[in-house]
Order: sequence, then C-alpha cells, then structure tokens
Amino acid sequence: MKKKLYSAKLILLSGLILLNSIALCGCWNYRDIEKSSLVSGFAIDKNKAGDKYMLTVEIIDYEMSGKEAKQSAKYIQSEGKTVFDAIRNVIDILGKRLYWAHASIVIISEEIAKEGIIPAIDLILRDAEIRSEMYILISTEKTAGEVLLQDPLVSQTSSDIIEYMLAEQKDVSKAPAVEVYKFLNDYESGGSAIPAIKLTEHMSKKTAEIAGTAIFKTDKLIGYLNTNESKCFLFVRNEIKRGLITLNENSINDTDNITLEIFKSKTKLKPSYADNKLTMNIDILTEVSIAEMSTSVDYSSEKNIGKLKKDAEEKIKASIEAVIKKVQLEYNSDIFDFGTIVKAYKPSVWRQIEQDWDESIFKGLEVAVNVRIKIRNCGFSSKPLYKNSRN
Amino acid sequence: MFKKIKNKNIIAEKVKDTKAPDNSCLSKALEDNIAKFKDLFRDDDTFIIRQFANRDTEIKCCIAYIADMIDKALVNDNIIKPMILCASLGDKADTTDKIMSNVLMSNEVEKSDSVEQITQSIMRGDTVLFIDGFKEAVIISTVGWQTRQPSEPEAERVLRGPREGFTESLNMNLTMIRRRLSTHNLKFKYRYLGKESNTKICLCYIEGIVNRQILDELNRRLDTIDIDGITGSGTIVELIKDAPYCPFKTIGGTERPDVASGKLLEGHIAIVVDGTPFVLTVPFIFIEYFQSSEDYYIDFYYSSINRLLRIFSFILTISSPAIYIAMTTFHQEMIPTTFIRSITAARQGVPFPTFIEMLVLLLAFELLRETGIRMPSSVGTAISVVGGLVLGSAAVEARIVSAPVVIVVALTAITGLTTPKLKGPEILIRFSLLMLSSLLGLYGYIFGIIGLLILLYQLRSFGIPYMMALTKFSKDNLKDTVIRVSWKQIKYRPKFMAPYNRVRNNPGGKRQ
Repeated sequence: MKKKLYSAKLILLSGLILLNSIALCGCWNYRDIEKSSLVSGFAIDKNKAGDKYMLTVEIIDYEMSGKEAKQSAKYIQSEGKTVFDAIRNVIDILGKRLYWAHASIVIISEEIAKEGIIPAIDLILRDAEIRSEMYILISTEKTAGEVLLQDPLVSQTSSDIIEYMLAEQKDVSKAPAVEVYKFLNDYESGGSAIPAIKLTEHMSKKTAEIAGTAIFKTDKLIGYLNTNESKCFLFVRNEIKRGLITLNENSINDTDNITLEIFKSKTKLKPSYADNKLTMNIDILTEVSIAEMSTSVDYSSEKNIGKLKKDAEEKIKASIEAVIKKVQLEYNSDIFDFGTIVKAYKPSVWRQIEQDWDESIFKGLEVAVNVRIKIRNCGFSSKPLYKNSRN
Repeated sequence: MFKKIKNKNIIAEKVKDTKAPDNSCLSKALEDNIAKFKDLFRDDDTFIIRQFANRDTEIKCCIAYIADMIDKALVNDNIIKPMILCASLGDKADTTDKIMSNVLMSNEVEKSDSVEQITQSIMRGDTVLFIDGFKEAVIISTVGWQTRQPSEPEAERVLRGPREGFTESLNMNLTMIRRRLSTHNLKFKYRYLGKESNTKICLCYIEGIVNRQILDELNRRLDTIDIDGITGSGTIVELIKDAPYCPFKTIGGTERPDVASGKLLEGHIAIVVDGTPFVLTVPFIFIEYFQSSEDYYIDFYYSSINRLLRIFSFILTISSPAIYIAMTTFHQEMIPTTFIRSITAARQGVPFPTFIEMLVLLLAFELLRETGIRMPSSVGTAISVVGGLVLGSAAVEARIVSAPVVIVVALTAITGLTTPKLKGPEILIRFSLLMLSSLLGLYGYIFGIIGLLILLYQLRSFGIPYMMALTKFSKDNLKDTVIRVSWKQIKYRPKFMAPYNRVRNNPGGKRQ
C-alpha cells in the first residue's frame, strides 16, 4: 500500500516537473534549421516619405547545384511602421521566417541617426533572438541599405566583410568597434561614438570602407571624426591594441618617413582638482618599434633615437590635444567618458558639477596630455638601408 | 482464499510424493539396488551398470556411472581391476571401510547410503560401487569428460597480460584462481542451485579481507533463489541483483582469472558457476565499467589517459545525438555562425526532420551492430561494406540524410565501442536523452542527465554505494578511479569493501 502511494507521488512529481519545464523554459519549440533563413546583417533606413522604416536584410540562401548546396547572399527590403513590423512583413515577401540570432551587424542611416537612433535599435536590445552584441555602424551614404548592398571584392557576404573590418580594427585602430550594448552603455553616460561606413570605388567596384567615427550627443548624430582623429580618440579611450604611427622626420623632403608599429599602449585617465579647477590628466604609455623607414639617419645611436622618441611623443600629444579641443568646442559631447572618470575619482566634485557637465564644464575642461613612447627595437636591421645620406 | 491455499498444499504434497522416493536408503541386496537405480534411470541409455564378481570369493559387485562422463582408464584400472583381483576379500567382516582403505586405488572416495546423494554423484561423473550384502555404496571420483582448453577470452582482450581465460569447467576455473592466490585464506564454498539442474556454484573470497556483511547478504540472496535451472551466470545475476529493473548492472562478470583474483584482493567475492566461463564478482560499482585489466599491466600514465578517454567517450556516446538535436532544432543561436551555415547547407533538400533522421540512422547502426555480432567474419565484411556504403555515402548523396547527422552517429558508434560492457545501458540512455532533447531542447537533456545522476547515486550494490569514490573530488578518491596512479601510491583497499583490513601496499614496511 505504502509502495503504491510512493509511486503515485513519484509519477505526480515527475509530471509536475515536466509540465514546469515546458511552461518555464524560453525557447521550447522544435524548429528545423532549414525552415528559417539565417540573417547575416541588416540596415535600417527611413522610406522616402519618411513615415516608415525600411529594412534591408541580408540572408544566406542555398542553391542546390548537383549534390552540393551552394550558399550565397540574397537581399530583401521590407517596410513597416516599426522595425519589428518591418521584420514580420518579410514573411509576406519571403514565405520564410527570418532567424536573427546570427546577425552580426546593423547599419543605421545618417537620417535616422540625426533624428535619434534609439527607436531604431530598441528592438535589438529588447528582443531575445536578436543579439545585442552585434556591431552597429552609421552609414555616411544617403541610405544604409546601399552600403549593405555593396559589391564586395571577395566572395563573402557583405555583412561578414563589414564584421571582419571591425573585428580586425585592432590592427589599424582607425575606428572604434562598437557593439549595440556598448553603445547603449555610453549613451547612458551622455556622449557616444559609433564607427562610420561609406562606399568607395575600388577596382571599379563600389565597396564599403570604414570612414572614421560618428559622434553622438545623447542619441543624436552630431558629427564625425576622420580616421586619424579616430586614432587619437582611441588613444584617450585606451582602446588602442595595435596600429601604426607615421612620422615625417627631418622634414627635408616628403619621403623621409618613419613608420612606428604600436605593440602595446596603455592610457590612464585621472582627474585632479586644485584651486577650484578640474584638470583631466591623460597618461599614455605606448610601446612601439620602428617598422619601416626611408631616411638615412642611424637610429641605433642614443641621441637620434631620443630625438625620434621626442618627436613622436610630441606629434601624438599635439594631435590628441587637437582632437579633444575639437570635440569639446565643436560637438561638446563627452565621447571620452571623462564624466564617468571624474565621478569615480572625485565623487564630491562630481556632485557639484554634475548639473552643468553637459552644458559647460566638459566644454571648458582643462586637459593635460602626457605621452611616453618606448621604442623597443628597429626590426631585423639596426642600420638604415640608405648608405649615402641625402642631407 | 482458503480454498486456494488448501489447493496449493495438496499440489505441494503431491509434488513431494512423486519427488521423494518412498525408500530413500539403499538395501542390503545388490539386486534390489540395481533394480532401484535402473528404475530411477529408466529410459536413460547413457546410464550404465557393470556387474562383476571377485575372482576368489565370488562376492558380487557392480558399478554404476554415466557413459562418457567418467575416465574409463581410471575406472578399469583403479576400481574394477583391484576389486576383481583382490585376494583378501571374502571375509564377512570386511566392511565397505576396508574396501575403501585397502582396495580402491582412488584419491577421493566416500560412502553413502542415500539414494539421493548417489544419484547426484552419478550425474556429476562419479562412479558408484555397490557391493552385495552391504547397505552402503562407495562413491568414487572419476570425473573425466572432455573440457575446452583455456584460451584467451574474445571479449576481454589485452595486449599485455595473461592470455588465460576461464573455461566451462568449474574445477579448472577454481584452480586458475588458486594458482594466482596461494594463501590458505582463500576460501571456496560450494553451493548447489536449481531444482532440476542442480548447478554447482562456488563462492570465492579471501578471509580477513572480505566484508562479512557483503558475504552474508550474498548468501541470503542466493538462499532466496528457487528456480528450476541455472544455465549460465546471467540467470543468477538477474535473480540476486539489487535493482532488478535498472539497466546498470550491480554484479560484475569477467572471463579472466587475473581480473577475478585482482577483485578478490580488493575484497570482492567471486561466484564461479559450473558450465560457464563467466565468473561473477560482487559488489560491482560504476567505475569498474571503465577499468580494464590492462590498466594494471601498462604504464600508469597511459592507463590514466585511457580511462579518461573511456569516461569521455561514455559521455559522448550518450549525449552527442541529443546535444546535436537540441542545438540544431532549439538553440541555433548557440552554434557558431559559420558552422550553422554549413549545417544548414547540408540540410538542404533533406526530406525528414532532423530528429527522425537521427533516430533512423541510430536504429540503422544498432541493426548493423546486432547483425554483425553473431555473423561469421566472412559475412561480417559484407555487412560492413553494405552498411558503410549504403548508409554512409549513398544516403548522404541521395540527400536522404544529412552529412552532419552521419558524422554524429558515427561518433556515437565509435565512442560507444570503447566501453563495451556499458552497451546496454548506453543504448537506453542515448535514446531517452534523444527523446527528451527533441521535446525540450537542452533543457530536456539536462533534465535527463539529472535523472541519470539521481539514479546512479541512489543505487547500491550489496550495500556499497554504486558511485563509491565518485562523490567528492579528493586525492584518495582519484587514485584508482578516473585515473590510475602508480602502485606505490595505492596503499589502501576501498573503504567499504574491506573495512577491517585496509592496508594493501606498504612500501618500505612503514608502520601504519
């Protein structure tokens, strides 16, 4: 009798757990892979009338050629009152549900960015299927769709190419690689920056190319930094991994170039407060090596290398100061996140200035840039290859 | 209800009547005895009675045996010859004892007047000598049938280690164990099981090491067996198993005497069953599935790697189909982008859902395995060609199944072969996990794994926790479980198996 009761209990319990597991888990429906189309990236525009969102979606399509299934990219455009509405409208056109979890980039048009980007990307953060760690870009072209519809040089999907462009930015450091969630974090603290993308002609094909950084104040696009300025911006944000610094030494003629390759860079931001004056100290320590040189100066000597070091430090310092000035005066958007740093180091000061930060304090913030460069080596050859000095 | 019991009683009495002979003892007259046994063995042409008389005294004798179960030379030279030629027989005072001590040239003689015992002895290959005028017969051991020579067991091959395997002969098996453990503490206790078959079994253990509680429990369980016949050790396993319906076994089996003696040294008990080369060992714990006798003969680094591989392949073989289904049909976001694209490419044009595809291929593999196992090796190659070609490439090329599923099934099959002892449970778990994950995705898979762990951790084998030494991560627990450390480090026997005599290895003779 007891045993019967026990087994009845067991059945009830396991039934309860099973029911719960069906009710409580998130993605419970069985769906075969080929029943939905994989989205690899998408672009958001406003339509001509400006009242609807227009989505350009890149999907992976498979074509049966003999026994093999060949994959290629196909593009669909759909309109809708909201982004999600446009996404659902794709079914009307395609007859297949789209699968968004593998989408890697989203390109937003300049027009939307100027009006305010948040309504367009709210879905990306809110929806369970669309990942918020996809890269976000701003198109400097008329529409974002045409960037996605580029004519790639290699046989990869357009989204893959743009994704790799950003993922490999650490080798060039010309634009920040920003994921959607990162953008939203920065947005919370006032100013934010997103890589910009444009179309250029390469080998008579219109291809996408990174075009520096787009600067946002709150959620509105207010301007751009070019690729060189973006590098300075990345120096301040401590986001330089690798990259190049080109110097024009001796300035006798234009070909006397030296390229320094960055191996390691570390930036420390620390505010100091004295005599009612807030100063942001930026300490940059960069390790480089001489990667290439077209001069005849022998940099194996202590004196020459010291000079090179000083020149490089000064050049970087000057350009960083210029970029900070530009951002402060032209855009007045705290894309460097100075506010957060002040809040962390000087909470009492922050409480006093918090109100006026966006309006005036950031604009007039004193910045002390201190660049230190360590030249590790000069590659495999210590002497310049030019034998006869041209000077 | 009463009626039923009454009926049962009547039936039981009737059975008793027919079974027990009305006169269970021998009589003095030889003719009566011969008649009695001829009647007992009527319609049995293998039963042979040879009558003869002593040359001098004309005392009538007779021997009874079963044809071809005895050693003929032995019977002729050591029983018939001395009995016929012996000159000193004849004195009426001569008793059976005198014949046993002075006449019979046999190492093992016993006298008995019980018809039951004599019948049993005859059937086991002994020869029984009846002498006219005596109420007792002499049972002489003359066992001499043909047995198979020990050979290397097919299922438990090792590269390094003894090539000897148990045979069907109980006595030969016992000597194989005895030869490896020359101690008087090694005990052999005979028992007989089966109402009709009367199978002789032997419990082996080392006194002083064995846990008496386990031994008592084993004897108690063997006492409860009331079956007509035992044809192999498997019958005993199912009758005395801890959890009769659990797919995991709680009683081990081996064909190798070195394994059996190794287990005895660890405090296990071996059950040798007459007529089968499979010797049972109790208790049996989960980790023994992954231990091979070879582990102890080769380098411990290598054997540790092998053990880890076996455990890893067990996990793979039960989960890879389930995880594949869960990932590709529920959690596509978990698969790397490039990988999901190639899976999708492979799925193009396949008519069945992934789950059906997986199920069909897994079934096909099990079919191939089952077909191949009992085929002669010449047919086996044909099967593998058909299986490999038809199921492998042709099905993929015809787009009936997708290539990734074939790869997953192949992986499942290969990893399943690393732990052949676990084959049965593996199939069950694999299919149930597959069902669960096709219903609920990874959630269902985890659900199944939790259920499996609960099952394994609550299981006991003769009072020993089934997951002994796998409950917590510690140095001692690791020593001879998931890896094997050097013999220098294995100092103690498992705590539960040999609680009173734990020291196994005492390098340098240090006092413990």
